[in-house]
Amino acid sequence: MQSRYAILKYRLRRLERGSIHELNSDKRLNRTTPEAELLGQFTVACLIMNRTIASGIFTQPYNIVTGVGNSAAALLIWFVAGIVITCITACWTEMGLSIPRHEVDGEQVSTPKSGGDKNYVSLSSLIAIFQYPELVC
Amino acid sequence: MTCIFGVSFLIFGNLAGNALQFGIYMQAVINPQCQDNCLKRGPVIAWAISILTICAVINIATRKFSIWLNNIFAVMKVALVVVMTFLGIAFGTIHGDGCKKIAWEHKGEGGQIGDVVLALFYAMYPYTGYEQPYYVLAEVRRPKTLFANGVMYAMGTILVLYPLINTSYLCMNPYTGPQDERNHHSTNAAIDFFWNLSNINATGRGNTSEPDLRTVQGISAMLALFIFGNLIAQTYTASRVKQEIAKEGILPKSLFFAAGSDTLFARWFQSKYAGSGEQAPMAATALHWGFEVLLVLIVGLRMEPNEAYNFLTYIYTFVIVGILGFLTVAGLLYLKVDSWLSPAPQYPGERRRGRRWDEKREWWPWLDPLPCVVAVLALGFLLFGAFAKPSRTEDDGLSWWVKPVVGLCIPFLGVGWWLGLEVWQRKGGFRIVRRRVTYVDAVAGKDPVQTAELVIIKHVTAASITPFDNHL
Repeated sequence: MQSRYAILKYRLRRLERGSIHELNSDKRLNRTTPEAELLGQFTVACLIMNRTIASGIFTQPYNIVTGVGNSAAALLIWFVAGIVITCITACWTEMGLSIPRHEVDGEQVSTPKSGGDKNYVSLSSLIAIFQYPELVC
Repeated sequence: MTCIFGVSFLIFGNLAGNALQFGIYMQAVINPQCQDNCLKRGPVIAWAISILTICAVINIATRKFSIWLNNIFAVMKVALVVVMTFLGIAFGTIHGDGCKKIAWEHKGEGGQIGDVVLALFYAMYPYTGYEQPYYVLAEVRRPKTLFANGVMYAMGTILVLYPLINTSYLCMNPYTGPQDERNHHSTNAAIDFFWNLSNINATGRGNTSEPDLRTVQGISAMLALFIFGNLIAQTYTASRVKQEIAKEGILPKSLFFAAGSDTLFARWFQSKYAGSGEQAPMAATALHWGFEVLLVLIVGLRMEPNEAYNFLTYIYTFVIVGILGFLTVAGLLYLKVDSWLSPAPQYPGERRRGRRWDEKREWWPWLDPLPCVVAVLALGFLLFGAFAKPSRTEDDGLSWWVKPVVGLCIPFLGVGWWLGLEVWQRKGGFRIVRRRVTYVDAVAGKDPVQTAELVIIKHVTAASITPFDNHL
């Protein structure tokens, strides 16, 4: 793995500070986050937990237990919902780490990109697959 | 397809509902006697818009601080949920036999197929949020190793905590059917929880005395703070998704919205932040804020605050999690089936048919195809099940089918947008092309990441499209 990436080493040299380079009216260069400021594992986990634990967990328990009318079933529903979401997360991770792919020095590598399901929907959704078979990588 | 996602996400990819809920809690802090029905729309909307503005300003002012805030909030929230879980279970065991009352015994109404679907839907909503880090995946260090683990740790934590906190909730407030509202002071689990706790300490079990207003105020303030944290995270990620949508060239002034620039702090304190030059999408944040405020105003003015919250969160879950999620996972399932159906070439030189996903993928979950199959089945079931009639009517005066129908219509707005773009291009005799040149930094021992991206969006005549151009 390591040697493969060593071959692909490609440095972008002239990235000055300030980052917006208005080359002309229809081009724009966006610099991505510098190495030192990339998000670590802890922040990734926190992003999920901070966004997830909020009003929902406190407003929904009552709705659910009155909806199914049975306290054990309500707990089961909570557990099932958690499993389903975990499965969806696994799918997203698979896609997020695999597409899009870029050709670097003649080899295709996956380079994760921001945007979440925008990329997955436009590259791999049912409709897109039939529309442009070649788009998927 | 890009248009369908772009337009849906542009309009509904925000937490306008939560901002309204923030307003509701702030009202409860100021005036704790007022429960559900005496809320005034004006102040709630005003609170909602102010908090959204604060989040947007923080987002463009400093990236570091919003991430720091995000982490602090996450730790606080997990700690509180853990404490509540233990307190609740301990309490239920000590005072009476609350925990033992959790049983399969059916109490009162509910339990129809429509109710179960709705309950599953409601139960999935608090879990949504898993998608956040994917929206900023380019900003993650070593995505292939650290990221996947980080996501799974977070999901594992939540998967354990949520059923447990519900157990705790049911221990404290044994469910005895809809007629018996005695133990339920509020439909909010947190208020209910601390209410019981403080009442028991003072007077003993089953107390139905006047509410302790300070408790309600305290909890409401805390929950409002939680939502603030929630909105910070969403503003941070969703503004970057909007930037990505703009890079696809489907918006007017796409390049303007696609621009990233130094945050305000990085500009003001050049010396202190020297060399950091942290980035934030300013114009995209403004776009995000604009649609959020628009939704708050439209829905907030038409409906009572609590109904507006329910409506907006339902639509968010249905469109962003349900429809877009279903299209995504179904596409992935197709790719898997496709590579399973097209076997490896038998003799050298033969080109393998299909899309060869199994050669391209870089990550394998446990029990591999199973999560994908479960996800497709569950999301498909939810989309169709949403039309099953629940036995209880909602108190917002809308028929049960209105919300899923509205949800299904949203993607068609995207189709309409796409048709509009087509007509515009035909009439003008040009094509909008976009080219994204990505600079990939691949250093030995690290995952390759993109370091910069040149976005080119221009209008050209059909004849001059090059193979590098991606037209709509």
